[in-house]
Amino acid sequence: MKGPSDGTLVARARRGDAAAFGALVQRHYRACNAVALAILRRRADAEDACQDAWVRALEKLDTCRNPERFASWMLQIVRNHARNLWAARRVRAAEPLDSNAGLAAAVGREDPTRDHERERLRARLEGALAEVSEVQRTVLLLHDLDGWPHRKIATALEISEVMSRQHLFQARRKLRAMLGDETLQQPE
Amino acid sequence: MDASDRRSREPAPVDLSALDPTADRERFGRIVERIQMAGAAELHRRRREAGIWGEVARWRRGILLGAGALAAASVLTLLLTRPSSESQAESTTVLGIPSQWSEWVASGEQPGPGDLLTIERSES
Repeated sequence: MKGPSDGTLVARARRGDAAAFGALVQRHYRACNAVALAILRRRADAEDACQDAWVRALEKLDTCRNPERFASWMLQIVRNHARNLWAARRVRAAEPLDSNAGLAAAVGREDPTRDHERERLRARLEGALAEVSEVQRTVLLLHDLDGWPHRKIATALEISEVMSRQHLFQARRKLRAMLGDETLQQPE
Repeated sequence: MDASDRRSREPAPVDLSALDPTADRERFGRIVERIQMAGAAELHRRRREAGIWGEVARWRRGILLGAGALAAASVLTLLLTRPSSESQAESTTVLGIPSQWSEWVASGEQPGPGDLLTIERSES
């Protein structure tokens, strides 16, 4: 991890340092988004949930008892918030949250010409991810998208490392069966 | 099944980069900026609070230091200027208390009934 530790950044953010808060967001946003996406299944919903969760986390930053383990603490907030949103959406049985009114609209869509292929691939991935369980999605996204090791995933999700490996195995197998070779990760 | 067998049976990783919110740096920059804007009020409150409490903490340290020095000086003064039994006797006389009483207090002896009667007679 480059730069100051999470503990240092949290201490500075507690004193209202905007740059430190921004650095924490930059460092952990992808993992937060992975967890929110695993629950809400749509990118725009996940981004809205993440924004709310980050503001909420900032408000209750003093309750983070172990700032060096900020990532796990933050993920718990994102998970709770995303689940609340998911439950509220099911109760309302309303339109999807991503009706172009949320953060996705505010930050702008990508260039449709340039990213048409990417958009198509994203839709396929989101569709395939919807077919695996929430915990499998979470493990898969944290491991394959944000590069978390199984030990860290196990701690954050309060499962064993063996289960984390098992969930990854199952999720990859299901996705591979649904997507074929199109999304096969190129060896580095 | 050993580790290499298990690895060879593992499904290949799926390319999830299309779901990576940080892939488009410009867009991700706007996301971070927007989160910072949403948290601006809370950050401002924290800066203000840190300022106030920091000021109080600095004052508190100074006040505590001053109080400590004052207490040490007071103890030293008391030790150096402890009144003698003679001066105690003089002060009790000024207050109208028989000097014999202060002597008993200083010596820790208890007066007998005869002593008390003697004082009573001498007073009257």
